[in-house]
Amino acid sequence: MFLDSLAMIALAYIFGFLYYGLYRNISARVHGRFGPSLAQSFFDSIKLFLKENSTNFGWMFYAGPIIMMIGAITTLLFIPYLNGSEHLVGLSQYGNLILVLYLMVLEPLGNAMGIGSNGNPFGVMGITRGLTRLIGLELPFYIAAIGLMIANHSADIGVIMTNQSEGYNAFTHPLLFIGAFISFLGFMGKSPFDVVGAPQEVYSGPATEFSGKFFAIALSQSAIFSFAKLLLMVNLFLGGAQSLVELVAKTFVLFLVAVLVGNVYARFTTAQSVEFLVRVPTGIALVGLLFV
Amino acid sequence: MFNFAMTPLGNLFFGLTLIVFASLLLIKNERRDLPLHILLFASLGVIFYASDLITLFVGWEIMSWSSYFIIAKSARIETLQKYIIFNLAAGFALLGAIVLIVAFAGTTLYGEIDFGKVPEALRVPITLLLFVTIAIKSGIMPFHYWVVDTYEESDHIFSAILSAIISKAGIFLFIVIFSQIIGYRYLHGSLFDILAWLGVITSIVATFKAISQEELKRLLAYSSIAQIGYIVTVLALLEGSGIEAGLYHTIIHTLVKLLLFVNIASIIYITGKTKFSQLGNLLYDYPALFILLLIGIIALAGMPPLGGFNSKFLIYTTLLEKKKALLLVAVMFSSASAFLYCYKLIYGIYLGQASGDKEGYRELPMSFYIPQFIAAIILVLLGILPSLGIALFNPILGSLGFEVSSYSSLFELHTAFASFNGGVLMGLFGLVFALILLLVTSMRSKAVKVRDRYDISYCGETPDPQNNLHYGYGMGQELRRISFIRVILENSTATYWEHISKLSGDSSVMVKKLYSLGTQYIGLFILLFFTILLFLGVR
Repeated sequence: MFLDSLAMIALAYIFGFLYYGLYRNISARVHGRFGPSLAQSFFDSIKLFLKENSTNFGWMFYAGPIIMMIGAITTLLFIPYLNGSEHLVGLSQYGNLILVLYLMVLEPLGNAMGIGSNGNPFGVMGITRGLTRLIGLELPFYIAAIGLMIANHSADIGVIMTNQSEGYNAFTHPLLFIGAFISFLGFMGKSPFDVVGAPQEVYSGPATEFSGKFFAIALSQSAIFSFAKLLLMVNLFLGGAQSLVELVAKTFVLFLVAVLVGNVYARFTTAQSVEFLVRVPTGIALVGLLFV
Repeated sequence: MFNFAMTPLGNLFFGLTLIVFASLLLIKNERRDLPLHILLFASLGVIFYASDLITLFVGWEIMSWSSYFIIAKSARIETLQKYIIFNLAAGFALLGAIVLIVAFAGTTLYGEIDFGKVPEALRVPITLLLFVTIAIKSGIMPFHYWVVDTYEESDHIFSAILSAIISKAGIFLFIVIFSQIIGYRYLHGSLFDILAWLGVITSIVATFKAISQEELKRLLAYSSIAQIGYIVTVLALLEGSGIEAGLYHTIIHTLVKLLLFVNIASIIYITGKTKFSQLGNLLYDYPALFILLLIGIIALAGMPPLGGFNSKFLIYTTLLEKKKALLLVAVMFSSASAFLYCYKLIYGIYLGQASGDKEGYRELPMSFYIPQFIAAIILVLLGILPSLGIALFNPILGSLGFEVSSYSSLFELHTAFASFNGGVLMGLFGLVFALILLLVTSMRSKAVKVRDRYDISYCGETPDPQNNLHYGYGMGQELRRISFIRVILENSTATYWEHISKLSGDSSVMVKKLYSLGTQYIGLFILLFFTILLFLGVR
């Protein structure tokens, strides 16, 4: 079980950074640039990890990225990778979808604790924006999750995944999928819901004061967490995957759509994004819920 | 005359009372009135162990009055008036319901009351009267009007008792009267559906109100209202599993509010300040208090791996089982919004920049830590052994005639929808934390300790003491830009109650006028009275 979990974390780490590299490349092409090499983010994270921290704001400042990493890893380990496989299941038999939804909040909370302790008002401004946006962001996703749990009469991610042999939930419950997907864009930190880390408005975003290995941890957990979120979407709506190749293909399609949408839309302000999320995707998902 | 019985339900509530009172009495507090506290404690015992309706009512009244005199020591007269008017109304409503039940059932003993003897037409009014009592005591909207001011102005330690225990008297009354005395088969489900929605609307509104508060204790008061909203919602499903989830959340909320109110009381004791805008950056001065508050808010937010997640999980799965999807959406929405006030609480006090100097701070007696430690240890324990709560509730469910939940191990919390293992969860958290810590500390680092708090990235400028760098003041204000939250924040039931108060004032003036008329008019009224009597007699 331990090796299985380690393999899950390693795969998420590699694919997470690979996708991040792709994101930077695709965005660059959209902007008419060439962009960095694919493995650049991967090297960045290792380089940063070997560097020393420049400033020390006390132990709570350091605990922030560690809590974020715990959030990312625990979320990942409670989501099975493959459909019907004994491998790469992690601890998914000990958890369920409700638990995963709560573990996903640990990352923003860890971020909030770390940033809050450094005394930089701009960082906390970003955090408040993030937590406010979370109000709107979680609502459509929760509704979709509730719909799926009621339809499958189970909160077990494995059960929801295997019950899709006759048709993916994305097609049998299209409205729930649309609602959840718009939320998912926000969870991935893509436009138009990326005001939290907006470098122009909030001077380099919430991560203003991190440096060295703690910045590396923050980056790595973001890669692992992105992959966990892609994995969750694939398992819930796209029927999971029988093999790693299928998993990569499905997560990549989802990721590509998210990146392209993110590149097209301009940024919402916090109030705008909450209002939009509470009106449009929530409304769509609620109608979908009524069909269930 | 008075009848008592030891029941599993009474034992649970009295056990909680004992934990709260015993741990709080250890705190040295020169403003505490011990006889009144003992009277209050005794009255709670009377309520929880009563086995006839009259005893219950007597206990209820003593509880309301003894807490009135305790609150009177520090509260303003308006707050006291609000408190007593609402709680008298609760008492009268309870008395009315009891009189109606006893008049038809012919007995006051819980075990002998047959609600089937009460005529159909009276069952709804009795239920409504009991709703009013429960809603007032537990602070369900629109009867929460007295709660916030009372919590804010009470003695800081007594607020913990108010929130942790006294608000639970309403929950206890709900379970005892509807499931034990009346029986669910005689109740109208539609009325309880409305109550369930009232509960969840209460929690949503109170959550947003809590986020926008500037006073520490007002935030906690609104948070109490919100949390009890969940309990009422899940109890109003009229299910055994609903009682289980409600009781679990009762335990968690009692412990969390004991911890948080004592923590806030400690901060107020040390600093003498009560607003977020006056505090900040106390983390490194009081790290133990910070960690205790962190445990408290993790449990309050219902985050794994602490006990708070268990009760949220049971609430969600109970709503899922009953297919109350919209209710569940509303509960989850409120629950997701609660992260913001949890963060405001910890950031405003312990993180960020200090507002003002730290001179004149008093040293905190060790006794303030004891209640917090007790609550924190139980919350962690429940996180590892989630089915400990189920083991505790099974005798209660059995005694009330519901199906008992089964569990294979104390580590695992099992429901029809899903299960999770608290031991594995806590173990994983511990392991990952230890591994990362090992990885990080194994490399030597020469990071420069920031001495000057103003040494931060500040858009290329250097902030000086004139810049207010503590964001705790403004946090939650920007929510007003979101239209539906603005509607919630700008409206309150105060205008509604003030209207009622004005109406009753005007009508009392009219009645008073009758008495201040001349003697000739009084003679006229007497004549009129007898004429009407005569007229009725002839007919």
